[in-house]
Amino acid sequence: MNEEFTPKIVGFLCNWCSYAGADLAGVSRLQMPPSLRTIRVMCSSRVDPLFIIKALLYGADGVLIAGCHPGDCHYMKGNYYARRRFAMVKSLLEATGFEPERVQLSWVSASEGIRFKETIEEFTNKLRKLGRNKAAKKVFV
Amino acid sequence: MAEIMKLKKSADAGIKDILKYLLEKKKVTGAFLLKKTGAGSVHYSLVTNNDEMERSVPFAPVMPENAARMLTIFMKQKPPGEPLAVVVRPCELRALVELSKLGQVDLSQLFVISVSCPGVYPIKTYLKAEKPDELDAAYKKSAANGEIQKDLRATCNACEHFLPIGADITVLLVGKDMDSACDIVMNTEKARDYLSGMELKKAEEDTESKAVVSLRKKRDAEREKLFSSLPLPDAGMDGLIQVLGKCIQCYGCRSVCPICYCTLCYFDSANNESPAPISENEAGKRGAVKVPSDTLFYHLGRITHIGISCVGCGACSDVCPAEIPLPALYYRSGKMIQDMFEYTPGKNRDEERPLSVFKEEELGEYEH
Repeated sequence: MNEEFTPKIVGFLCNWCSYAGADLAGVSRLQMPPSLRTIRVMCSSRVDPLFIIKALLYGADGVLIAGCHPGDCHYMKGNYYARRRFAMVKSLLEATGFEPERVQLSWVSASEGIRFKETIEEFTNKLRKLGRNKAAKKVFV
Repeated sequence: MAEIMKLKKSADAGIKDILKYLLEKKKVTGAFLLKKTGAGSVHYSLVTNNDEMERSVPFAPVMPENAARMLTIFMKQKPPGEPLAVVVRPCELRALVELSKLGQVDLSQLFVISVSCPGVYPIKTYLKAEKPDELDAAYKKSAANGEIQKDLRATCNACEHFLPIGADITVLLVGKDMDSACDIVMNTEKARDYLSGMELKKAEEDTESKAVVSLRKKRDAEREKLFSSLPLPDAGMDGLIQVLGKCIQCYGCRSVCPICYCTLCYFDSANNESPAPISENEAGKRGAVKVPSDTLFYHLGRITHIGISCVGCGACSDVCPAEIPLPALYYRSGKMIQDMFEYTPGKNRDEERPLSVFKEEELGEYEH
């Protein structure tokens, strides 16, 4: 049987909003593709740009960073810094031709279980279209 | 129009006179500039004595090390209120400003002398020159005519900020005969104050001279060429491997980078080790893996660290044993990041680095 390719997404979810949002999606029994590998971080600004690059070089098909909506950060302004850093990484990927579509920044609050499910579905579909990350098979990383 | 002081001597002699004056009048405790240290070798040195000043070569067409890096090392523990005169190139000054934003150096202690910069030769070209005089003459000629000199560092020929930003004194080299003219622009009150006792002939002149304008145009074209010489971004990951595949991971580019100031580098830390189990696991998945891995990771990671402050000095290209066109990669990627934040490193001392600040409403296009 020809199985449809399920991308591997490394997801950095902030402890206060997005992780709780994912939890809500889970307890609400919302169906979503099994593509996400969750890493809980205390804040989206904990995500070092190096984490994103390493995940991509080591074969993740996509990297998702999810945090509280702007203005709602548990630490007041962490997600604003995260957004700037994310923009930097994205333009680095654009500059080096490293498929910037493979990274995504989304805001998901603790009450948005449905939004979380939709985010995962959309991102998974986008990555399916992009295909597998070629870095996974490279000898030189 | 700027007020210009004209000294009827060579640029070298003129600036040495000024430095000697500053030392004699105890306006500064020392001068930091390039000095001959042996046959054919020059280094940044601290000069406090007029005889030694004579053996200095402030405008030697080479950058043996980026002055910003040397100065941050030197300035540690320097007590306040003891100013130091420094002769640096515009990119070194911009790197200094970036380092001051990172808390590495106190600019208020410096009396900055900079130049309108014709560029520098790669270290190897300068050190290996069989006829250094000819090299020198060719340099002066192209500087006077505001022309590209193909033997210079590739980044120098592609440099857009060759007029210094924020120097106390600018010595004009582009479009001037360095052997007979020393034209000095006083940019700050501090400069006028420090040199108030010197007899200097004043004149009015536009710093954006014809030579400067034409050189800028030529360099813009060179920059386009330099940036498009890489197979990036179109060739994607294969392009990256093509460019960086020759890297031997000596970390030389990091050692000479003025912006890399960390005492312990992430890439030397235990975080970056790839012990056997990790490599074996990766090899199992890929068929083979380069040992140690993480060469691309190092370079891309380095851009996330320095990209925002990269001044494109080209020190990294001079030291790369594999002759990887690093500035084309770092400078270009750095510039793309800087342009996105509308930030020019080293331009404004009071402007925070983009990653240290934010606006509440911005970058909506990056959210999903």
